[in-house]
Amino acid sequence: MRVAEPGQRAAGEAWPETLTLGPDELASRHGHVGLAIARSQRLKVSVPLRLGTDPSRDLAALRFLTEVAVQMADLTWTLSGAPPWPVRTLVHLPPPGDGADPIAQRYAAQWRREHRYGLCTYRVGPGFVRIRDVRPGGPHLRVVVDGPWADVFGFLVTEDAEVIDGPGRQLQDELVAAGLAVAVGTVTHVLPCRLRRWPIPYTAAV
Amino acid sequence: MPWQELSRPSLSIGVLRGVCADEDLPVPRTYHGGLRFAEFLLERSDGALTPYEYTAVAESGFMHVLGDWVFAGALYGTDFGYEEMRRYAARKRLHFRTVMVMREHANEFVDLVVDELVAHDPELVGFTTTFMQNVPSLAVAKRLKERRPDITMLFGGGNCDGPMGVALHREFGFVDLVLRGEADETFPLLLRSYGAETALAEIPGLCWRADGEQRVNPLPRLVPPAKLTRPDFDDWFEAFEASRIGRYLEPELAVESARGCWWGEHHHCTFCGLNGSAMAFRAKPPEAFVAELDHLVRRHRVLDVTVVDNILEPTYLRTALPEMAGRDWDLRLHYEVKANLSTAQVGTLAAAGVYSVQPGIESLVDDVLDRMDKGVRAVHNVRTMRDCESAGLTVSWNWLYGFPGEQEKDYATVLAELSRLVHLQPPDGVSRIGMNRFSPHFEDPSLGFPSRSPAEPYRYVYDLTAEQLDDLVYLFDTPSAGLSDEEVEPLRAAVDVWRRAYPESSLRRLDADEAVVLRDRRAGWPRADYVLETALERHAWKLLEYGGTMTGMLRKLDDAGMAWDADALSRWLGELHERGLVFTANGRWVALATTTVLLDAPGREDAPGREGAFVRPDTRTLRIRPAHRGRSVRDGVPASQATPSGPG
Repeated sequence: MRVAEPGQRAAGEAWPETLTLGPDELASRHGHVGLAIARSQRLKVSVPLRLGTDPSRDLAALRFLTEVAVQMADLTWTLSGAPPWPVRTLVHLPPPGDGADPIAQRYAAQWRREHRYGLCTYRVGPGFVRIRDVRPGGPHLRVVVDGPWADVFGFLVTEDAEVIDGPGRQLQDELVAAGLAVAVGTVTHVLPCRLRRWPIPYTAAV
Repeated sequence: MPWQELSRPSLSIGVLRGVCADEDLPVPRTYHGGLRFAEFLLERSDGALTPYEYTAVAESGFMHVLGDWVFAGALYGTDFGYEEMRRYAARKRLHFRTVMVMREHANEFVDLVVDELVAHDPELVGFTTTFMQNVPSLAVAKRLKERRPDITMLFGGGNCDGPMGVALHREFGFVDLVLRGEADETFPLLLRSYGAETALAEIPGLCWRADGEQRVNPLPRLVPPAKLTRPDFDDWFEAFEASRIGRYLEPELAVESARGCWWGEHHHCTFCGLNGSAMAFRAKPPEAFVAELDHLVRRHRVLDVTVVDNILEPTYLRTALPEMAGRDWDLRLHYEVKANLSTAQVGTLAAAGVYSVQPGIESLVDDVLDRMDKGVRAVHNVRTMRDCESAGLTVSWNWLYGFPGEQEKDYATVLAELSRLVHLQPPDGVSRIGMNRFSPHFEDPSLGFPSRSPAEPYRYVYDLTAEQLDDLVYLFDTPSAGLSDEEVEPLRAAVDVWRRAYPESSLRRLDADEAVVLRDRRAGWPRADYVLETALERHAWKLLEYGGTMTGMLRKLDDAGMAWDADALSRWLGELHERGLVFTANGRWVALATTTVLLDAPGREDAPGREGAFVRPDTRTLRIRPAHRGRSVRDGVPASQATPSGPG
């Protein structure tokens, strides 16, 4: 058995403690997050992330943070500037460890202070979806999405939900009105994270 | 009646409703006294006594029968047992203020319940009573009988099992009937023959009176698995949703997939009295259980499920659980299991949504596990703890001590190992075993508890002599055995360290190219990555993950064509042990690194305990579904009210 003290590994060893991602890599979130989990690695975003300037980057960042939350991965990242939403909108997602500027630092500090796992989640049952929203600073909601809309919800959280017509549009509007989704450019991003893995103790997420 | 858990329905009531429907009998009207009491406390205390306070008593009051005591004044008169229990609580350092305040409201509550029951003009009122539900039920029954002598009072449930039911019927004359044992078959029989004295003699398990004399019918047969009925919870969910309590709590389901204990049938754990007179293990056919769960989840739109079984039917790991896993629902189930599960079986539990288990770990001292006839060794318990940690299962366990004949030296050996386990879930506490009715310790004085008496606090909730209490109660006092309070202090201190270290500790195995890396980030140990580079080491580590003796490992390595010199293996194990990577007890070894990476919930050290199950009382419930003619239906509040209110 060889002992490799942290920070004293030989160059090129296959098990670095941190998997560092560039901003362009966030879009392929599933692979990176899964890889980090399989390798017991922390994730780190290499540059500060700014939200609110480019809808496609915003969407990639939101989906990346959502995936990190769902998988309960360990992420370090830095915020730049103030996002175009109140802290409450994002507070259920993994918070930034720091801000790159004073505005971001204040935003990040509140986010860290108010964040805990499981603040805004959904769970899928047979023919329904249960959403639980206990983010601080607003009404606490328990929502049951029922009947055919449960399938539509499943579509909204898994597909690129460009503005769509019919029941999908109607559900989008309901979710936005309830503070459970935000418009990012022409896309509606559903905020709750699917609760598939439970923390220990599980009571941390109920 | 209180102290039924608030977040889930009474399974007993649900089953009785189910059997009545199955038997084409009118489904009885139900009254959920626990919910009603919690509402009442909330209202009378202007919000000071919330469901949290109710739940604290319900969950932790039993060992001192505090919930019964809350209603003792309503049963016997305001002052009954008051000072005595106050002194007892001070001596035991119990949090007592809340129950004192609750007691002030009990009398009025009992009147309210009687009013509400009388308003239905019933012929018969049945009370199902388990643990601390006896005195509240008796208080209501007594006053109801005074008001309406024509109403028949029926008692049943766990508190009426065996001699307890006979004693309850004997000591409380206003209780007309007691139905002992499982009532799935006898309750419908009673309803059918109700009022006919001759027929009462034919109902198994019934205590009744004829000419003022108590008659006790023999216990009923145990209900066969195929006759275990699907519960009907419609009434409870209706009551819960209409109740203010529903705003504080997320509703859950309570179901049973089996009764009895397959381990206890042959090796009854010496301290356990849970199964009463119904130890024989009977599991529902797996397809029936899955169909039942499917029905209840769909009907009530609830994904949190407590399975109340005392032990998981092992074949479910090949049948019901994989079937549930295949449905891809986000269930969270609780199960009690035996700590001899394989790693793959723990994975099956997690895949099926079993995220909370009570594996009956009880101790990590082999000698003590033998004394309790647990059927597992410390390495099995540690392996289960490791695999549950890997799979993300919350493990509930208490470290029990106080077994006759246990030795301090055996604990000392294990104490030296505990610092290695700080990345695994620690016990909730360290507790001296109590003596419970129906346990081998109770039934067989030769096991080390030759004398006993009803637990002291019963004297402050029942106006009965010790002799009368002897058949009525479940908890007993005995002279302490095993470790003294002083001798157990090192264990308490070690567990305290463990509990503090756990949130910041991890020891994980990751598989790299041509190597196994053990990443140690445990509190109290050097931060290091240990690399197992040779095929021999990796294979030996695999064997250690299953656990076993050095002799066994040598044989298995040899079988695999990887012979290892005994001295070399011993040195290797010694190094692993020195670095805290393995646990050993009595010549058996087990690897400690978790194998599937479970990244901790951020801030889990601050994670709430049971109070985490509570939600804010101003929580709003919406139901969103498509409606006719293009408009959506939002039951609850208008969209404008549901919109987040500005920056967080």
